Amino acid sequence: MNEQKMFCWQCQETAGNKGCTVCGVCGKTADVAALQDELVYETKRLSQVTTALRKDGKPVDKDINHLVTVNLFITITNANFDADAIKAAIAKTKTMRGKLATKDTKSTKDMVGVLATTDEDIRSLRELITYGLKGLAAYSKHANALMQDDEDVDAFIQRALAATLDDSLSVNDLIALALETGKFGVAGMALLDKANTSAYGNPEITEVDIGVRANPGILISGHDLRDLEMLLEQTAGAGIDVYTHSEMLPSHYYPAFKKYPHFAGNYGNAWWKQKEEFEKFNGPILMTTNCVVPPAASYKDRLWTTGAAGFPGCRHIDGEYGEQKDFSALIEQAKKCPPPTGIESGKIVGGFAHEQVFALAGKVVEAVKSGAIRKFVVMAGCDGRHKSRDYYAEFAKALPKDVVILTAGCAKYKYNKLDLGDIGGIPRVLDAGQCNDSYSLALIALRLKEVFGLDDINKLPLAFNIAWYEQKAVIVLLALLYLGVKNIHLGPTLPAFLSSNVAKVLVENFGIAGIGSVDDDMKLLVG
Amino acid sequence: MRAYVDQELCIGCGLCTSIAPDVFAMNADGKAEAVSDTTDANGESVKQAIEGCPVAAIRETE
Repeated sequence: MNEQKMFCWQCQETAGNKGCTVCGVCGKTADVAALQDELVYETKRLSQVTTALRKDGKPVDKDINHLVTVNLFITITNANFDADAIKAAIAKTKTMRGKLATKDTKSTKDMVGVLATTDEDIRSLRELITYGLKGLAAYSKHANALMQDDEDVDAFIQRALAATLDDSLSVNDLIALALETGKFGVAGMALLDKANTSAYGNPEITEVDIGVRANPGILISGHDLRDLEMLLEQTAGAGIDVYTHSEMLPSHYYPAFKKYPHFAGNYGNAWWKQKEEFEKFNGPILMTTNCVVPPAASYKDRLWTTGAAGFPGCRHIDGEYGEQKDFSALIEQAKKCPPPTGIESGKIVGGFAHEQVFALAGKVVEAVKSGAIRKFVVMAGCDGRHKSRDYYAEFAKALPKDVVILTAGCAKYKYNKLDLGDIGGIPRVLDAGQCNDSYSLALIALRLKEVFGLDDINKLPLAFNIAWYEQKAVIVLLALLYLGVKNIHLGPTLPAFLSSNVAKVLVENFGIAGIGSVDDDMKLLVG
Repeated sequence: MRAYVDQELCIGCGLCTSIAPDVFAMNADGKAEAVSDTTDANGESVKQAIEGCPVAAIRETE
C-alpha cells in the first residue's frame, strides 16, 4: 500500500473511483492538494464571518463575494496547480477575515480536508454541497467578469459554505441544503446566461470550421467570453487567427463575435486530448478556466493562464473585473510561431440555445406531434479519458433516427463530429453551448412542457443520460434535481463522494441511476 | 512493443487500465501492469495512458 499523502475524490477520474491519496490523477501533487484543502477551509471560515454579518443586516462588499468565488474556482479539478498562487489566495482570505471579524471563529488543522468529517454520510453531503458550490462559483465568476452580480447567489454560496462547517446540522438538513444549492444553481446559470447574452447577443445556428488557416494562431480554451472578446480586440489586424478549444467552441454561436474576420474556428476536441493537440497547434494557448492538463515540455512555454487558472512555470495574465487584460506578450509570441498543423477538416453546427430553439418551436412541436421526433435525450456534461466513455459515442450512434440529442458542455465531443443527420431540417444533435448552457436545455424543456400542456416535466418525451467529470457538472445535476427532473442516468460512474446512504436517497427520491450497456440503456431511456 | 509499468512508482489509480483496458490490468498488489503488447490498434490508447499517468510510471520497451 502506498502511504496516504492527500485525499481528493471530487472528480470522476479519482483513483479507483475511491479517492486520490498519493497524487491526483489530474496531475496535482499532494502539496497542492493540501493547499487547495486549506483554501477551501479558509474560504468557509471567511463565509462564516460574512454570513454572520449579513444576519446582522450588514452589507458585504462585492470584492469579498468575488474572492470567495475565485477561491472556489481555483480548487476545481484541473484549474490551478500553482502552489504560490494558492498560497497567495489563502493569505488574502485570512487577511480579509481578519479585517471583518470582531471575534475570531475557532480553527484547528483537524478541520481541514475531506476526511476531517468522520461520519461518512455527513462527509458525503458536505462534499456534494461544496462541489456544487464550486461549480456555481465558476459560473458566477464568469458573470462577474461581465460586471453582472447576484447578491442572493453570493449570499447563498457563503451561507452554504459556512453550513458545511456546522456540526449541528443533520443528514436531513444537509440533504435540504443540497437541493437548495440546486435552486441557486439555476439562479447562477441564469445570471451567466443573462451576462453572456446581454453582452454578446443570443446564440444562433452557426457552422464552425474545424480546419486551419495559413496565419499563426492563438488558441483560447475555457469558458470566459470576456477574455475572448479582449483577445479578439487586441489581435485585430495583427495577422493572427484566433481559434477556440473545447468549452470555448460555443462562443462562435454568439452574434457579437462574428464580426471578427480573424476568429477562425475551433481546433481540437475535449480537454483530455490537449497534450497531443496543443503540441500540434504550434502557437500560444490561453487557458481562461479549468481543464488544464499538466503540459508537456514541448509546449509548456506556449501555455498561458488567466483568471482562476494557473500552472507553475506557465505565464499568468492578471486583470481585475472591468479592466482590460494585456495580452500583448502572448500576441508577440504568436507572431513568431508557425501556423497550426491541421488535424481535422469540415464544419460542426451549434447554437441551439433557448432563444434559437424557441424561434424553431413551431417546427419542433410539429415534428413531435407528427411523430417525426419520438424523443429527446439530454446527453450534456463532461468528456474524459476513461475508455468507458466510449459508451456515449456508441449510445449516440445507436439511437433510433427519430431521436434528437440535446447537449451542452464538452460531453458533445464524443458524438458532435459523427454525421447523425437531421429530422426535417432539425439536426439530430442540438448543441446549446457550454455546460452552464444546460440552463438553456432546462428552459427548452419547460417551454415544451407548457406547449404540450403538461403538469410535470417528466411527462415530456425526454430522457437524461448525463456524463460528468468535474464539479460544474455537480451543480448542473443539483439544478436539474431542483427543477424536478427524475430518472437521470449519470455516468460513466456515480461519484465516489456519494456514500451508500446518500446515493440511496438520490436513487429513491429522484430515480438517479448509473449507466449500463448501450442496449439495456436504450431500452430503458428510449424504449 | 510492450509497455512497462514501474511497480515502485505506480499508485494503482487505474487511469491506464481505464484508458487502455486491453493492455493494462491491475495485479494482485493493486498496481497496474501491461498484460499484452502494444499494437497498431491500441497504440493511441497506450500513448494516452503514458501521457496521462499522474506519476509517469509507464514507459514503452522494445
